Amino acid sequence: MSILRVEPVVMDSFGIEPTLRDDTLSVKLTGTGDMAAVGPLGFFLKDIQSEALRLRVSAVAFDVRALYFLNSSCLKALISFISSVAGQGLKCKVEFITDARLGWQRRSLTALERMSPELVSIADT
Amino acid sequence: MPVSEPSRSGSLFLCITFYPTERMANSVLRLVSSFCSMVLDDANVCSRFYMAAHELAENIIKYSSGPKVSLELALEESESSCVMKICARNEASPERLREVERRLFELKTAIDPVKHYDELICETAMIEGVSGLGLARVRAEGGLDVDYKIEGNELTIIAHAPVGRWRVDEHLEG
Repeated sequence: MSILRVEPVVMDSFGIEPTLRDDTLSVKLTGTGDMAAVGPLGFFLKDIQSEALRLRVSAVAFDVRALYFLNSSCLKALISFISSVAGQGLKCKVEFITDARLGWQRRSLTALERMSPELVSIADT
Repeated sequence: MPVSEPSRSGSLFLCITFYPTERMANSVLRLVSSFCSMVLDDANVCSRFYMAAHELAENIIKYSSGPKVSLELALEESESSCVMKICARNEASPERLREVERRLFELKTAIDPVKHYDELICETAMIEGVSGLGLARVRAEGGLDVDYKIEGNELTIIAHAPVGRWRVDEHLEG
């Protein structure tokens, strides 16, 4: 498998850490997804989409357990990512790993699952 | 019947007027988070109100044409119920006011807020730039009702929902 060609995002209040494990691209989101995070997240998701295509991964797994808020613009960036993945015909699932104790995570991401149930799943841990 | 603005004589009332900058918003939202955690003893209820306040605060900052914006939170009790209200106020351009009035009217009158939110998600999925989802999210995901008022160039958005319990004991104990 090729080496990942996408850089982590490190900010004071927000972070993105991508890793490749077997044929799954794992993306750990940390901190607060607020106005400051929208731009970096959007750029990152465009890069990760290209990587998913190049590496032909079977899944992109977003670990949001250490995320404390996600605003609607960050959600929109994830929605655009999922739509693009679906539009490109990639055989790639999108999974969100949530902390069951943080009810807002599933509540916020459920709309993405409703939008694309065949592609998106949410796993509480 | 339109919902009234938060009352200063409610059980609890917090009003913050600030410059419409991202940095100020971060400070204000930290205060709002503390306020919600202090007042509401259910973490899920608290996160719903915090999400609503966050979306409203970002909204008034992004579209403000005036020098200041304000955010109010109030807990109002009656004999039979207790309601938490969040009120966001800014000045906006006539174009923005027309657009937001259209969106707010559709949101307020939507019979099924989740369906309305899902439709907006599908409509805007591939549109670059502004999400346009924040206010619909407040109603669909947060479960808060949304009302609004436009007077001149001033826009007031009020989100509100009943709360089952709040930390009245701490209030009484001082």
